[in-house]
Amino acid sequence: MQIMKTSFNSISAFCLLSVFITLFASSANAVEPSDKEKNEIAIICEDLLAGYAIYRDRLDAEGYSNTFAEDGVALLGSNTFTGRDALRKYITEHNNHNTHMIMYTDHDITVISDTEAVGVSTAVVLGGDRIVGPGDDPIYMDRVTAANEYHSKFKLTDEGWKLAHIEFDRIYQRED
Amino acid sequence: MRIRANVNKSLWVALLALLAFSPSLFAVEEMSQEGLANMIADCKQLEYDYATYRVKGDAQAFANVFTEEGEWGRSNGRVLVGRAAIADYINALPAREPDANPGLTTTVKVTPIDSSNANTVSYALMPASSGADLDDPVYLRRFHIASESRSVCTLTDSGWKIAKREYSTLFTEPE
Repeated sequence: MQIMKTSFNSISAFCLLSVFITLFASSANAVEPSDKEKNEIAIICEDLLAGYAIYRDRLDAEGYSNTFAEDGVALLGSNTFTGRDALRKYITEHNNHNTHMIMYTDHDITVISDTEAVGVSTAVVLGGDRIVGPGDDPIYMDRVTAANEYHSKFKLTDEGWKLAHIEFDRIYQRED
Repeated sequence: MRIRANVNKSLWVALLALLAFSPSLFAVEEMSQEGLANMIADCKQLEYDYATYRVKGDAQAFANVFTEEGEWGRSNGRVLVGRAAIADYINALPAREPDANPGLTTTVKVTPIDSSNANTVSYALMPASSGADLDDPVYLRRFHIASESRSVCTLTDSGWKIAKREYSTLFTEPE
């Protein structure tokens, strides 16, 4: 009986030790990136935001949804879209297919670890009342439609860096 | 003889299985984080150089943003081919210094095609100004043009260059 108890304790200790080693190893894996790596991550995250803008403007559902992680979230106005299917649907069911431009003026990306980053960006937005196709006249407009401040989170996935979360505050709205 | 046939058959089965279950063999080579970031940064820099040299009217520097045989599509449908034609076009423009209508490059999206080619989409906003003077600030009234440019960038012996570029004016100020 004593031998069994000793063996049981040894196994428990071994399991506990394994858990600690695993936890330690995983925390050790989330290393602080070097300045060079932080710069690389920031460049890639800015490019993700550019994709978010341009695919949205073109109503490219595949491009837009693939900018996000599988479980990515977008808070747009009072609506929340979670996951690529919902994000794809948001674009395909968009009923305002007019010329639209999200023009970023500034990005501030903070790299938290080698798998996480956050960003604050500002952009002016131009919204037209029709599509401008090849050979069409441009839309006549002399002021921007809105200015937004975007708050975003990024994470490293098996497919590379992706948007995990994005939402925005409208800081300027054109008075019509 | 029969054993050899079986071995050959097994090898073929193994090869087919390898091809079937290894799509990465055919995929565009995976880019490292460093490689992707460098490509994005270099192609974005081309966009900024394009805008800077265009505004300054520096014909040679502007032409050098393109490949030797680079194509620059103008808004009137004309396509200038080659650095010499592009430089001649800039040199023929009326001098206007200082330039009070700088194009503000805003959103730039770089999409890799492979390790030495990429597509770029960029937006620019050009303000309308009340005049230009070296000592006084320019008074902005409104924006003049908002445009979208589409470029194919390629890695050459002298770094990343624009191989082809065209643009569309999407918004403009009322006449």
